[in-house]
Amino acid sequence: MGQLSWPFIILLLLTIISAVVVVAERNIVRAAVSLGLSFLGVAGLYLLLHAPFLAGAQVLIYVGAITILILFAIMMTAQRLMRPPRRALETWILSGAVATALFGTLAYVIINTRWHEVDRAAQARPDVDYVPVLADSLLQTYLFPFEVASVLLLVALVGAIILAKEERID
Amino acid sequence: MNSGDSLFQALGRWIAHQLPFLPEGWGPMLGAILGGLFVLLAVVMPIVTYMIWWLRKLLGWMQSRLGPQHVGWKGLLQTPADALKLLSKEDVIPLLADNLVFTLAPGIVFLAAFLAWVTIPLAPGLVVKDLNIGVVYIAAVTSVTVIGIVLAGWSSNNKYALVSAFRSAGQMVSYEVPLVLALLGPVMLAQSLSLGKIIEAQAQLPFFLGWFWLYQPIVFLCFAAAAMAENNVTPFDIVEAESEIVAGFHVEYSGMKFALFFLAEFANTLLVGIMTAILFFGGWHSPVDSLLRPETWPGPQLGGVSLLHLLWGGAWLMGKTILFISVVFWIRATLPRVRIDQLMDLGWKVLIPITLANLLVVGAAIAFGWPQWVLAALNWGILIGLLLLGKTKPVPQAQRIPKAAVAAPAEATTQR
Repeated sequence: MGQLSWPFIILLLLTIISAVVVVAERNIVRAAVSLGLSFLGVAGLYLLLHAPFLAGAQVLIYVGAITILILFAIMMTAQRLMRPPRRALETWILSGAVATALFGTLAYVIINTRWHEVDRAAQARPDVDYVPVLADSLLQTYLFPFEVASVLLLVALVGAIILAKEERID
Repeated sequence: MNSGDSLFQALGRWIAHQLPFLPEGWGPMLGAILGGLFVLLAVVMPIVTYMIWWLRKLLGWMQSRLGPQHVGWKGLLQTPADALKLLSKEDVIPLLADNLVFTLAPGIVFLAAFLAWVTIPLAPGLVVKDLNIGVVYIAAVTSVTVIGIVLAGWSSNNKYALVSAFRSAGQMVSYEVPLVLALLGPVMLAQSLSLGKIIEAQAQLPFFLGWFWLYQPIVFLCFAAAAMAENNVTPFDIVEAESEIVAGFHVEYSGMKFALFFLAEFANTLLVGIMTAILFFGGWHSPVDSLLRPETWPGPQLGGVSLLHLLWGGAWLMGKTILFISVVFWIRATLPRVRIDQLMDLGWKVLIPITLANLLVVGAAIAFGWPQWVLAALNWGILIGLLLLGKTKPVPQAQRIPKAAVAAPAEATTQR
């Protein structure tokens, strides 16, 4: 493997360029479409990493559902569609700080991961069907974190319903 | 993504062997490209063309008409003639439409509809690539369709199209959940996500006793309903409702772009038919396969399968598919369109609980090693019980319409 392969470069460019378009594009619907494209690029990267199930889940959930929800939400609030977003100084500072913190965390994790060991493990068994492996680790090894995440999502769901529910005057 | 060599992979390898100047690794890719072209041009397109003819004939007969009959023998050339007409039409883009998105949308819908066919087995050994995540792949690829529809509706800058985009987003997001949950029923029984392995798992018992609809009748019905809703087929066609929002998201489209939407819609109906046959009705296996044993038939071999077996299996799969498509068309001719609140009620309050409960039951059956007949008995018992219950207590249909609204027009007509 070693060097960069052409599919990897193409997918990388697709992911990054469309991610930049998401931020730079003034038309918010086009930005949402570009976000979907970026998700697709990430799915392609998963495929290159021999994780087809993850790629499928990425397309199913991020491209097929999240992008749709974003588009739906945008259209629901369509009256402000064409107005450029507010660009005050404090917005810049706040979002810059959040982005830098996120970038720093990710960079720290990426630098400190021993990639060659991960790569060797993948090279050792290139033809293994990883779906059962994934299922075992999600539902046996890491069952507790998995369930905690589910409960968290459930709480978020209930909270969203309560927020969205109209106040009834009895 | 490992699986046995399919016919197309073998073909690609053979071509690469004949052309030694090709770089290493091109054989499988050539095979995949040829396979994709074959499936698209020689299987899906002709079937879709004649599906449209069959729909018009069937609807015609059901409504005491003749259907198309002037162009060609029994009207067989009507659809090609219509396709040529669409090709020659002017491509109109509304003045205030978002040009780029407007052009992109039909392409997305068309691509999403046809990408799914990569992993659909058409006959024993006749598949472009039997992915070991086949079911996830199909669910993922077809879920992209809705982006195209929403974008088409939004970019047209037409209020009917926008309403349709709203409805489409709501409907698709609601029905994707029960659809995927229903797909898990056969997947859990077969213990695999690969369509080829799901078909093989149904051939374990003689005759049709291994077919999954026997063990999952309720989920089969849920799958059919969710797939039809996902596909905007009547009675779930509120996205296109001609009588309310003209034609919905494709109202501003003409010519070739409209043809792409149209083709994609029928290709999706075909996909629903073939997926039903594969997941619940034994795929290419016939009820008499356990007597005839086609896998032992002699004759020339193609991709590890005897040619006779390939044709026999393909014919059975296609026959089942056409049967299910005809049922979809029959429903289309029979049922009125649902209201949006009925649609949402069915999705969230009926299909999702049932499919979730089924996951629990099938999981328990696998975990505790129940024999298969227990699962079948449980399913059929509940289904028949529900049907009997529904018979004694009719569902109040017009409950939500206030009485005044119904009574007022009636009075008006009697006074006149």
